[in-house]
Amino acid sequence: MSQDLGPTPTGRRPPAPEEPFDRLFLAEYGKVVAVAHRVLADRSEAEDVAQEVFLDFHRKQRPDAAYAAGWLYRAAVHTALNRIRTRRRRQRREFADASGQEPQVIDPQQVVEVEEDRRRVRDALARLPVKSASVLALRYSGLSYVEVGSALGVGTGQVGTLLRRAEQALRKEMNRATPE
Amino acid sequence: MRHLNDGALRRLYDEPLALDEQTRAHYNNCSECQSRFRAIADDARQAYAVMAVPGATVDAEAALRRVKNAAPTGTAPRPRLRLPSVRSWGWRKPAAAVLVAAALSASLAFTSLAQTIQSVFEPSSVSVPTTQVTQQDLQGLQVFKNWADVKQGGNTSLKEAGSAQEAAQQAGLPELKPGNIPATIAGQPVSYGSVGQLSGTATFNSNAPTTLQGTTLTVQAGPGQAIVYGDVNKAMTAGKQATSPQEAASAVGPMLAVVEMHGAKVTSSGASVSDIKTVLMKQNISANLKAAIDNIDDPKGNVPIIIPTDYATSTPGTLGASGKQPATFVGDNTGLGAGVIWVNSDTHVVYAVVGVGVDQPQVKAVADSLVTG
Repeated sequence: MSQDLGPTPTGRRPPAPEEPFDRLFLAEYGKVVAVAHRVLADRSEAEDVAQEVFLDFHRKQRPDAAYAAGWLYRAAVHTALNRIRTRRRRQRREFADASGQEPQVIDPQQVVEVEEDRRRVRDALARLPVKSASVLALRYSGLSYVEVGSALGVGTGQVGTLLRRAEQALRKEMNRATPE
Repeated sequence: MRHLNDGALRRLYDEPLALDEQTRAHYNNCSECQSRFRAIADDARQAYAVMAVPGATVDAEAALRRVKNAAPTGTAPRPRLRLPSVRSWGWRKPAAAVLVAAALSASLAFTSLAQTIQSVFEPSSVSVPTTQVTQQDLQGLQVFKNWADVKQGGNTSLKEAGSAQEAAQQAGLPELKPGNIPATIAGQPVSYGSVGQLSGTATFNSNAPTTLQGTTLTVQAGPGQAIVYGDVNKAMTAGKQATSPQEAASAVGPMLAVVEMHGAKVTSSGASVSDIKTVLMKQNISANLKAAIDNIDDPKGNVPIIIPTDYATSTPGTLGASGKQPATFVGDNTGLGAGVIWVNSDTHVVYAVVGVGVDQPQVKAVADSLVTG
């Protein structure tokens, strides 16, 4: 069954599986990947994160728990954020290692620019407080305010405030990172 | 009616129908709110645009097959055993004093406060330094706790195993083969269990000094395994209900836990260890604890274990036939329990033998059997 990376799966649904974990997986996998994808901007890595999150859930939680979906979304965004932070550290190390060396590969300008924009956004995201980065990823991946609130453990009424602050913080980080 | 706050205006952008009629009526007649809304909507659009990602589809059924192939067969087990942890027993309960020691490496790995201050580096030393601290120290460190939003990715639940061999396989560690089990313990029921790799994060929030804000400390500990002699479930119940150490020990009966786990490892995403040390040491804590914190990034490596003076004691010693394995002996102040903790300097694995209704020579004998092999 293929799903769009968003809250609403498309295509014909096969009969619902009997296992609660299977039902949960098929219902939530698309959303979990979407959340991770929004953070990582890399679909393949987002699927890795989703698999890791579901495996972790399978080991530790009950699939019929009321908090299951929120747990999965939160775990996805945290795992993805950890990955971009790790990636940043690695890139800094690689940059430091490569300093003084001649570049070995020259990419087309456009590719460089796209990659650079993507990296700047992910860097900015990694510098935000976890809750701010989380609320952006969760909301922009298509979750409703109720779902975002549930995943973050806050009231629905607070989600708008968190989003507003996060968007201001992201803008500030992006401006800070923009070369003069 | 008052003006709409930023949160309500932000939600109006996403979910206009979620706001009540009175709120929307105010908005429709308020130029100030409308002006603020436009600024908020602009920010929202820009943020959404910079975080846009290419559309894609996923094959959930294929992914489910992959996950099921990678997951253990059967439904997820519901852990039934829990390691006694410092947090679950509470610092203030005298009855828990015995099990403060029993928390051993678990306390290092599992308590968020401990995670963030104690184990900034993977254990690599040949000794386990201990630091006796007072209630004042602990209160001083509570300030630090308020500075950080702590989240734990794992839990302290033991996964039950049918044998020591199975627990070892689950944990990916060598099988524990303790000897010299005291006669009073040997007849007790035996439980085997493992705990996977645990992780937790502490992100410094706006209460923290600016040099630390936004930094995230990530802790990873485990996997580990344990053999517990005695009725663990009964111990947890009795320990929580007891009003004195004697009552707790009497209800629990003799118990012994043998634990082996990879020690905690902490990494920082932002502020350096030096920055963290600087602010920690400004707290109202004893010189003793300051010295321990100052040594936390000693190149030789440390695993400082904080032991409250009100509840427990610690003394250095050695283990093994050759007496070359440094270790720390811990005991509660009531004399009802004893334990010993050490680190294998080659593998960086933390070991502990702790018990209730046992004395120091008895735990040492068990530990000696593990060190000597």
